[in-house]
Amino acid sequence: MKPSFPKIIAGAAAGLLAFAATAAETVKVGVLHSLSGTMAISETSLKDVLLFTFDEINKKGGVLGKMIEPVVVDPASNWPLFAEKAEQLLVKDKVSVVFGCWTSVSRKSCLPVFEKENGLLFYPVQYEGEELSKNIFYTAEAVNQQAIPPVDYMLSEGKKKFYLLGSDYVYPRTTNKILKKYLKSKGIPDSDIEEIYTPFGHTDYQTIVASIKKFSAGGSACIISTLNGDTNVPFFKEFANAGLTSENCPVVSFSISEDEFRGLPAKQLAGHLGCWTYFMSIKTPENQKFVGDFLSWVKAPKVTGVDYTVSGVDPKGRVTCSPMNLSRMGVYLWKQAVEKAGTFDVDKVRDALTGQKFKGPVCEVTMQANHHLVNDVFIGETLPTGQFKVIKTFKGVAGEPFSEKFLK
Amino acid sequence: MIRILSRRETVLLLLASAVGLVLLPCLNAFVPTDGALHVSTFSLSLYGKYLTYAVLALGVNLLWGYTGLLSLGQCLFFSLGGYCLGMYLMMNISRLGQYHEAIPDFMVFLEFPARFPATGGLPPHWIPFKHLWFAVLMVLVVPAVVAYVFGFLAFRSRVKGVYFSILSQALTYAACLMFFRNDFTFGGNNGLTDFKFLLGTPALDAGDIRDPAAFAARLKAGEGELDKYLWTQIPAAEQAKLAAAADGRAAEAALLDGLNRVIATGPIHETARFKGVALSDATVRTLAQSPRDAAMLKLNRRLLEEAFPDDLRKRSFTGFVVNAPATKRALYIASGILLLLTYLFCRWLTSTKFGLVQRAVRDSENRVLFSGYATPDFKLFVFVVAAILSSLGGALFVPQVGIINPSEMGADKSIEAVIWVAVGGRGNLLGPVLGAIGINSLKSYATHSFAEQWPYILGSLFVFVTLFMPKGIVGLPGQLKELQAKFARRRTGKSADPTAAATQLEPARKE
Repeated sequence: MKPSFPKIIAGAAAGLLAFAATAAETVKVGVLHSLSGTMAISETSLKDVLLFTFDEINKKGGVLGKMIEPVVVDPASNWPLFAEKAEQLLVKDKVSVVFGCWTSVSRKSCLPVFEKENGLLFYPVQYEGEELSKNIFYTAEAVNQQAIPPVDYMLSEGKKKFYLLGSDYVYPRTTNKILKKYLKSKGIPDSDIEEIYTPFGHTDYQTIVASIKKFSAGGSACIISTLNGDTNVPFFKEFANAGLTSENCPVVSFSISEDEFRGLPAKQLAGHLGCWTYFMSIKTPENQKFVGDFLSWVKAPKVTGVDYTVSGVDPKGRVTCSPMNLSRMGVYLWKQAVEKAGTFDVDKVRDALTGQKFKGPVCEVTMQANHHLVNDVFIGETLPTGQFKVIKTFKGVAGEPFSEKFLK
Repeated sequence: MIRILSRRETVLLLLASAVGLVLLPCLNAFVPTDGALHVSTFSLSLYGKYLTYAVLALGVNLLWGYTGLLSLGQCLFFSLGGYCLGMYLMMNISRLGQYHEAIPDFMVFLEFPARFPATGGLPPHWIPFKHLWFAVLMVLVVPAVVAYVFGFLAFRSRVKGVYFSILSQALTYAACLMFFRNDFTFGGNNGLTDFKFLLGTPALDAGDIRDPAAFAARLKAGEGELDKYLWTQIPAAEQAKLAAAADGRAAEAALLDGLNRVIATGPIHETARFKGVALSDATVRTLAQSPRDAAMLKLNRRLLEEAFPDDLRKRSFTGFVVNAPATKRALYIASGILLLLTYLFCRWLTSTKFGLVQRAVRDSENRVLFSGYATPDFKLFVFVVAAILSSLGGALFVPQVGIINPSEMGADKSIEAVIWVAVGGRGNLLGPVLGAIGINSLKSYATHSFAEQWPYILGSLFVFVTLFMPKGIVGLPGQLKELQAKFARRRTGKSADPTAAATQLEPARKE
């Protein structure tokens, strides 16, 4: 039966009223992650975990009694579009906070917007540092949290030669620059440090692996890899073909987490190392609850308390990883700061964020005055299942964005 | 003189200019922000971006629609223009960036000072870009040279059709990979960003301090509240350099460094600090707005000038803040004017005899060649002109969006530009403009309102237009008329008029 015209009007009015009623009790929060384009494969997981966290919080009554209403936009892996969408979120939607960005270039693109509009951005992905905006909180691992600990570990394991291999962009360059200085300060001579960069999407690793083989002949060498994404497949294939193993020449990768293994064959990487501030496999009751809750959430995704339909969540083969955990902890730190400040006002929330502590799934973190976290760092051995087995833990490493401050 | 614009077109252009160039900026500037008719700076700046895209689309159209050259690398020239202006904007941050060095931030952390010690870390080819005139000149010259060299080789070798398209795509991809490299000195994959000022900078420069040694001594003595504050804010390293300075020049350099750091660090005004200082009305007004970011830096500079009228030279102009609403408005208007001029230029070019040859090349190049025309030269000229137009668009794009990086040179971006032209309708001048503005508006709207589904929406639109609207949006009225005539014929049972169908295939405009 066709509804009559007055009925439609009445329905629309009721809908509008309902909307107005919910609108009064919600707080808008921006999600700025690429859902299409080259970065979508990584960033979609962060969008999912953010919506999951909003759902978690809304179930327990929201923030300051208000339900979190997500405003999800798609900057489409297009860097200028990141700035546009950031401005749209801040100016048009008037969101209280934004969670987003993966690549450094996307963060750099929207940084001026956040500074101009006095917005608040939480950035969750390991990065090269050398930046500190008063409008950005970096829950991400700084270089001294992700790169220095495994080098220390390698030194303690008796490794004396370091092969620094990376994709040619700013994060590997800066990380390796810092590592070289650090290694020199530990008495490793220049001749025992090799630094090589390959372009994005590079597939031919024959010559590089041959040079690694020569470099690692004595058995005291290791590789610090900042290779990005797909490039890892041909590299590790070639690496194994050349007869190199984690025994005679271990590789520490900084850019491969559990989530990347959804698209990478983990077998070839088994035995090699990763370093993050979180692993899915860490067995604490809090982490088991987080993983369990998230895995059941993706099967029936929703955000409680607000009129928002979740779509585009892939329920198959889901995992949790460090950027996801840092994303989620960012939301909780913001929530606590808002509650401490008693307002959503950016300046007051910013002040309240410093010193904020949160008991995360694997350890307690503290937000420092330099907008970076004090966090535990774990070195994990890759298992053929695409998970990591923790082999070394560094407690309470304080993130520091500027290398001149930790390289003394 | 030949009348190049029909009356209808003149009226249309005047109307579009009145709305776009006068009405919208006025609604932005004079209607209060809560007014119903207010156009926000965000929207205006967004339209400004679309206008630069429209200029790019006109360049693509000049090649594809009028000459039959499908270039899939036009965004290379757009980006080159953007990079040239971006370099100027980077140079203009001078000392007020993250590291407070005289060179752009990315050069500091990529250790350029070790690579280019003679120039203090600045690659030699960057030096002239501190002048706007040079940057603008390069916006014209660089793409023209690249287009000339590439076009000369391609057209001389009779590269045609799909091979030309593939080659142009390879060119832009190669350039993209080259710019990705940090060694290439253009900021690697982060590109150039965090622009602050246009046409000047509030950073203190050599000569701005009348007597550096005396001024430093005064600050060190710290009699006033402000003197004391400034001295404590100057980092120890600079203070040590000041103490060790052998001559006036070294003292000046150290003091400039120190004071610029103070300007760049945060708001310096506090009532107690500026007690005895007579601030000008304009400064007091600006203070009340508590400006942030670049505007705050400008205010800091003015506060210092007004606090120390005897020690610091007063500069009447310290540049425009790139992010300020007035600057955004001006950039929007500049983009509108550029689009208007580009439109008129394209209209003029296509209505001359040259334009006739151009279209003849498109329709049957061999016939034109056998008639004695050197078609490669014609094509080369159009290619260079289109490159310059795209580059001009890119130069205005960059200050409005605030970033330029190699991904703008990606092949996908150039293909997007071709799609705007296809959807709007090629072979005429209105279509590309409508396509560029329309699709980008739709994209901005859909990536926000339908974040998950927008690729499907836009994708199906493209498929629909390609399949059912070969002449794009502009061809729609004609198609509808044709459809109407078809129905009318079916109703009356009359046979089709063959001449009517034939005229439909020709461009709508009559010469």
